[in-house]
Amino acid sequence: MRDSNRTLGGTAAVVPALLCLLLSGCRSSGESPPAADEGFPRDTLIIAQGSDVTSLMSVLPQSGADTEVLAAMSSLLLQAEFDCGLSFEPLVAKEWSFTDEGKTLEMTLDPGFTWSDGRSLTAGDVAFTYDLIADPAVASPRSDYIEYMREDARPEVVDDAHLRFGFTQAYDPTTMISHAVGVELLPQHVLADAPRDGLASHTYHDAPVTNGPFEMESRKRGQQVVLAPSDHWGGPDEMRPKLKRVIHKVVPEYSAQLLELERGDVDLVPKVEVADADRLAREHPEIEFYRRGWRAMEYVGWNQVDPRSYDKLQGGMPEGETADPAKAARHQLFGDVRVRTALSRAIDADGMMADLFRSEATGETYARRAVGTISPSLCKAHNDAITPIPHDAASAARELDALGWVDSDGDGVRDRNGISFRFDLMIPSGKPLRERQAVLIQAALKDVGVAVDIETVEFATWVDRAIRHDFDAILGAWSIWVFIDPTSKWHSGPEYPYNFIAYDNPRVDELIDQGLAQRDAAEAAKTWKEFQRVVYEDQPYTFLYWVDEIVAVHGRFKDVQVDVLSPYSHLWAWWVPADQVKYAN
Amino acid sequence: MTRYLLRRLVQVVPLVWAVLTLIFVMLEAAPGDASAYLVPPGASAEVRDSLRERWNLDDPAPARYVALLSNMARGDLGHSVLRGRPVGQLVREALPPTLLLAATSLAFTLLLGGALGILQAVRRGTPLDGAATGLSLIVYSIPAFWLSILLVLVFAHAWPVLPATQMADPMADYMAPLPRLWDRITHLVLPALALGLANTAVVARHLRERMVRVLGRDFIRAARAKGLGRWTVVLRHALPNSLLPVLTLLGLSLPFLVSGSVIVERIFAWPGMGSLVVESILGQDTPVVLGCMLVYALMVVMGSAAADLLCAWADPRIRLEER
Repeated sequence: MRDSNRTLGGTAAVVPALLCLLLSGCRSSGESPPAADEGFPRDTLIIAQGSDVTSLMSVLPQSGADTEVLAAMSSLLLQAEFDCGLSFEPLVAKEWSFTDEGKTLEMTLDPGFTWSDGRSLTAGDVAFTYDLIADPAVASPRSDYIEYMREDARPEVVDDAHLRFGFTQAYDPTTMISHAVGVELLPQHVLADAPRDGLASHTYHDAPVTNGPFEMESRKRGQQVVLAPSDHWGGPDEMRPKLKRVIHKVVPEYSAQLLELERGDVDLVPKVEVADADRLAREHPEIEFYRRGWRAMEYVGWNQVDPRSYDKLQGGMPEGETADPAKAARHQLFGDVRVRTALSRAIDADGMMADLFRSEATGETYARRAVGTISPSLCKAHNDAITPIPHDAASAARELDALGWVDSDGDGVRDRNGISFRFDLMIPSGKPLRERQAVLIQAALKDVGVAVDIETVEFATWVDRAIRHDFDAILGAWSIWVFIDPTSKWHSGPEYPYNFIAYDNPRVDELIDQGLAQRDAAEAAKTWKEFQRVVYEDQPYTFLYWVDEIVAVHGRFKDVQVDVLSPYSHLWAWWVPADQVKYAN
Repeated sequence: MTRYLLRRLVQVVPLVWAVLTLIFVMLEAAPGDASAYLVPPGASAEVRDSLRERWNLDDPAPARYVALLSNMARGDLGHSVLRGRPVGQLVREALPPTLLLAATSLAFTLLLGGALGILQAVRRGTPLDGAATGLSLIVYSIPAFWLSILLVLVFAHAWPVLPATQMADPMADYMAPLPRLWDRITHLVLPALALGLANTAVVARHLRERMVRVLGRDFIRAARAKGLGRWTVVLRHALPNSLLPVLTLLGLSLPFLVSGSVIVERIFAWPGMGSLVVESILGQDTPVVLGCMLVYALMVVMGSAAADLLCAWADPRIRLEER
């Protein structure tokens, strides 16, 4: 496979470039960045998009396609950059500072920013956007963002250029800023009179008014969205797009995306499997590949509670209330940490990585062992000191023997007190990678006398049953979160539906609360490292690996940026040399 | 004829009710619901609860069934849970591409199937007839999804002369009118073939059988005796008298076109009803699935009625009131 750092010029560039590739993606061009007057904008980038755009309002539920298209058309209050963690640069807000012992975030807006219809962007637009998030009629999935904001200051508009976000408590500043600037703004003058409960069907989604370097030129539902440089871009000159158009073409099937890439019908496929990347690199030298470091963590989750016991408990609850998993009986197989550790030792995660994610062309493995749900991309908070449990089937077998799990009836499956060590591993259907992993896990556990029945269910069913703790073990994945908040996955209590395995450890609850309340990044990092250590010792999951995503891009595009935040970040910087332009129109 | 049409219209109601009820029960029988796709992973319980409440996902199934059907009876198909938009709007957007694809596919079916059937009848008993019969059987036996993949592999990959996906090139809007028209036509070829080839085989087979019999009739011998040319006899006298089963078939093929489009549209990224149905079923978006099924059921009933009308028109001996 052709490594994208080959395109970087000079030996001196190789080490930082490699780091950049591994950690956050990087620029690929060895050519000089273009000057503004070099005949830009020119050429068109066509991106294969797995699904159509449905919502172009940040306050509504959004698919991955929505997020990417909206990001290219929007400027956030602050420009988020990712390098070992989030950092912020001025953008719509030219200045910001915390006051009131860290409970107030004051911002001054750059008066140059306008909407794509030419109207000025004001602090009123920011307040309007957050007012939509707070409105129950909108039912915004971003309502988490305002959880710690004061009702009278989310934000308080001082004047057109000044605003204040008031928080009920001070917590991690990066997370506070993310909550205040992480939402794409909406124009008050366009949407002020729109019915709040009908925003999803508003005509805005066909002709959005945005504030980014690109604006929507046209849209054909189910087919494509065309972006072009905004006529009213009021931000920094260097962010003026150098591409004439960016087209998001809907191609739902992965195999069709690859075919279109090979034919030259699309220029970018956001997620290519390793084996396909190997083949494409061999047959199409014009295509380059970029790694998005450690985006998703694959795991086996061991249910801590007995599903029948929990179901009975839930059945006795009043309508609309959720039972506390702590009151259910422990799972008869996975309630013991020593059993979970033995199972983790029996599963050959390194072998699975080699089987599934190693490039035959370069020998590189596009994954690394996981030790928790905090991505290694968040390198300041990731606990590198944890050594993943090595694969050792013989030791695992001995550990299970010692715990009384032996094959007393000679049927090849261990048992204890008449209970056979056999369980269902629930996986979502339509995900070939997950199916292959399940088979490898099944085979590995069979070697130590543990029987696994793979249960494949629809994704919606998988989620539904996971939330109801109605399973023995699940095979799943968590995507990276760019700011750290493990509450929904690891905090105990009935109010955390994504704690699928009903994990319950008061020390972990304490560490989560402590980490979230920390204002000092270094102190918070220490807390998160301790949090990872404690969770890893408990082995509630068998943490398998963090997987890289591979983005394939046609080589004529320069200054390509692929990072944790997006498979096509900073599109305004991408450009094509004049002699390589494909689409003159 | 009016009485006939009215009677068909009345028959539609229980049929559509039965279809919608069956689909609703099947969707409800599957565990889980649209919230798996609606709620962002890791969102708080409050966010999840408010989205569930917004879309009545916690209401009992009978209550949602009654609400959906009574709204439908008033002409309101409801809102898509996943997209938030009115189902009527989604259907209005998706229906024209599907109709275009179905019409093109029917045209292929008629032209290719008709030509093949006529040729086989005229050359009956020859190796050409045998080869065409074998080929028809093979094509008819191939499932639409597999045929779609085969067509893409041959004509879009190995010999890349036709586009593989979508209704038009992304740059079509920036082309001159004629190249743009050509682009639209080329994008239709593969999905229309994938959808229509099986029916082509059926049409060819039925037309051949009927025409072989008609060619043996006295009026054909009389036409030949009058000195008419071979193809004039075939096309002007034998063909109109052989069309009746083909017309019936065309009407009855509508359900196959509709069901086939579900898979074919997905493979070719064709933005029609099929793609909408697949996405909505996968996302358990019940209002959209029911809305699409309503349209499908109506299309099937209309296709069947159209076939009856065409038959009556082609053969005046058929009286609709007696059917």
